[in-house]
Amino acid sequence: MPIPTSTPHRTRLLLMLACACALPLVGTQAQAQDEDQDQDPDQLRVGVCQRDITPISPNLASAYEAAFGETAVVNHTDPIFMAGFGDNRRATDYNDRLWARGVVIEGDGGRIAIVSLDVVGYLNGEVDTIRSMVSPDAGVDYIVVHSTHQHEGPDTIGIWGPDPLTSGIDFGYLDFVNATVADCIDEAADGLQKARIKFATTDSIGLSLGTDVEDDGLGVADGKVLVDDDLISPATDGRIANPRLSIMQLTERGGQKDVLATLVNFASHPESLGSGNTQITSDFPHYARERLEEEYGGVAIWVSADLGVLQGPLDIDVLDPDTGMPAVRRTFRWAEVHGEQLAERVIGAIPTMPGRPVASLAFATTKPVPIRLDNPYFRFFIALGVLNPRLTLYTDGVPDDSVGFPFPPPFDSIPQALGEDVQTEVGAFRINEASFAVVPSELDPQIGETYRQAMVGAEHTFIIGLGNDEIGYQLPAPKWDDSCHACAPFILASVPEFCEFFPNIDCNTVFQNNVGQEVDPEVGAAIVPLIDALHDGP
Amino acid sequence: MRPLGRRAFPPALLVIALASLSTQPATAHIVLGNRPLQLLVADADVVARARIVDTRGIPAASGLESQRPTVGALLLEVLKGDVPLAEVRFAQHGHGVASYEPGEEVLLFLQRIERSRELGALAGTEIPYVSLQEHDEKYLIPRNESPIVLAAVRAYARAERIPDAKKRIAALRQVTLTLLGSGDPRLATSAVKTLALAAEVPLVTRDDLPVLLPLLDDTSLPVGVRLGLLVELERRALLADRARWAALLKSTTGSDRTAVIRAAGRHPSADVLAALLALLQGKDEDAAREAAIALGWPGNAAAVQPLDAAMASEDRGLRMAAIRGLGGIGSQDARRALEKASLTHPDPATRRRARAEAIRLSGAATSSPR
Repeated sequence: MPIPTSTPHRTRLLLMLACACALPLVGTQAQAQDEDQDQDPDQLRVGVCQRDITPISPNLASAYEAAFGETAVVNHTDPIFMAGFGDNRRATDYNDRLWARGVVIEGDGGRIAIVSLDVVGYLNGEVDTIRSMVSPDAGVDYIVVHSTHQHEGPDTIGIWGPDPLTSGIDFGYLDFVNATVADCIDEAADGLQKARIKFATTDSIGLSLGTDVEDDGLGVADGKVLVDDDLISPATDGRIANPRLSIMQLTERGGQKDVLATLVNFASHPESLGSGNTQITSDFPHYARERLEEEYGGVAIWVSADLGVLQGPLDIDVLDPDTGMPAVRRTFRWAEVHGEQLAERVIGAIPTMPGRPVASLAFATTKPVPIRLDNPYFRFFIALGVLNPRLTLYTDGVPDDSVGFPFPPPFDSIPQALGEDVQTEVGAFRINEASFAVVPSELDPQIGETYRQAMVGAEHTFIIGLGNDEIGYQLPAPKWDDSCHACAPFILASVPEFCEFFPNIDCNTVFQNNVGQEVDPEVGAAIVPLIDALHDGP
Repeated sequence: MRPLGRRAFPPALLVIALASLSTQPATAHIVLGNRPLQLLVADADVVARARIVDTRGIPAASGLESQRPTVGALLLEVLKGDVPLAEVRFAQHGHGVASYEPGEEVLLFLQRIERSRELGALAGTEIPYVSLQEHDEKYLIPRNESPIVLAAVRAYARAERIPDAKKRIAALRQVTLTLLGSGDPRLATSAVKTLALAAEVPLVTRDDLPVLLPLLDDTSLPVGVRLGLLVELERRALLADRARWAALLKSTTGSDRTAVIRAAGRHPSADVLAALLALLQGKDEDAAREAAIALGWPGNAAAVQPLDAAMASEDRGLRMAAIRGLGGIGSQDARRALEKASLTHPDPATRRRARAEAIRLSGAATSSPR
């Protein structure tokens, strides 16, 4: 159903922000061009890269060659366990390839690299390995490695193996990805050329049919309504979705100004194929990228935004232009329709006038950001060796891989991990009139909106979710519902009535895969000052 | 770590809970992956054995049918909830929903639709329920059989109605033991997850060890279940036999051994060290690589020289794994070995990777901001 005209304030704010920024910025562009005259015209240089990171196992090598007509080089053991849904989902074929796609942007202020990986997530320890493998000659000041969070690729985290308690990771594959991404950045840095840059913002409103009870016609649905969201957005029964499409396009400086790269930022889980698919695919971003490259050339880069707390495509219907009917969900045709419609919306928003030939860059990062691990089930998985062992624990900011022996004799030889916190990182940067926040989480769009509002003066705002880490969902702190977790032992002892939260116990899935209720306070406390420091904030 | 919130606690259960508390206070718990069977039963308003009748979308006012799947099912037996044996229709919602075929006999875990914040707008329509089940929470019931899962669900539902707390816990203990010993991987996994979530609730006790210990050696169970049970028994201070880890390293093979190697590295001991070193230096390349990584526990001085030697292997995968292992150890000696390899190793890829690991250890990996 279309967005009602009497929309509550917060949702109006979302829509206003989503729509207003799509208006042509003629006056602003002219003013910027005047300013550019005074700046070094050689200042903005850009390099791009893309590398194939498709997992290829011995049993699937022939399938890879049949699908893509290229020689398969094995980089993964058999089987390839697919991440994102349940366990023991084994890849059987390929629909499209998985990529590392990146840009290196050099301007007045430094050089940054942004690389997007078609994987479900990539932990900070591996990102640090990539950074350490990048050549010092690349001269990159800040490297951002993002995961699109697609749900149809290999297990890179460790929780989707043959059974729920056994890892699916292949460390040899991670070594391959690390080296490949580092090579990609080196290549991009080595190929810097003078460039132009421009930004645009539009949205996905109207791309879905609104026929589903959870679909408000925004082209993305809010799959989890949090407590009191209905007070914020009563007209949509508490569904608060971010339909924003933020776009950055980089072109050559002169000549035909050929497009070097088009980066799109959108808040939707790339999981439209669902849990029954066993073909490796990057999901709807593949089709969006193909359409963008067909239109512009260059490299299309998909970056997932504040898609947390279940923003995604699973509860919307889209019209198949070939049939005039809703596309069948959880099919490659659905992904194709949705990807292409998103690309068309992006194409319609990118201004035709040339971009600016200069770039003013500023960035800031905070690392480490400690977050208390309120999740004994994570500890259980760490003890099982399921999670990537690079998940180090810390206490009071000091690495604490120590084990203690807290039990009385004769059990005092049984070790227990004593570290209290996990550590992650956050970052923020500006490029001309655009601002970017880099968060390690699957960020709820309500929080994303507060970060965008802190980007005072920015005309285009980007949230790079799952940036340099993957720590799970980040819910707004006031909406954290501890009932299921606190009450679990009571529930399992069949005495839920004795838990203080009874009868309002919410054991819904968004509280799974969560480090704990300190995620939002700690990430927010770290990133908001960075954003403020880069803008005219407090 | 935070204490559990609680209301008034029945005296008998309080005694049981206090008696079984470990020295670590209880903390909030998060479910990783899907819920154990007991939580599904607890969350559901209706639990029933049913036969699937049809699946279809929901017609919308526009004339176009939503693709959201709804399922019609005939209830054959109600295990929880006060509903008649009749046909019901339920919506599906979640990250990965189960798919059904007409004619299948299944277990259903349903919640009243008005309890769903997302689908509450369907209240009052022909769809009074929403399924709680994700895609791998589908339980098929073979015809004319009474599988263990059905018995377990009946037992869980019955336990909720037992007024006496001690008797309730005793009933749940029996279900837990039955599921663990069922031989069904999914049910055994569910029971292990229940244990991990249940903190110090005495769902298993020292009296149950004669039943549980053979399960640790039962190769028909998934290795993850066996390892998970071992970890839980240790965490609950019911087991102190450190030699079990080394024994598993020696007795398992193939992918099972991979899982054991990874877990054993989190449970270091002299026996585990010796077993992993043997694998590192053995002929099985896959095991050697996994052992190299598993030996990378902090401060594991005894593994530095063997891992340094492994960096000279002709097997590229083993060289990379040894580098990871040295990075995990993190000692000065480990770092020196990595730095030396970064300068002198004949293979450029190994030099690059060793250098990266040495940098990562030094904490200088992050690109410095301006």
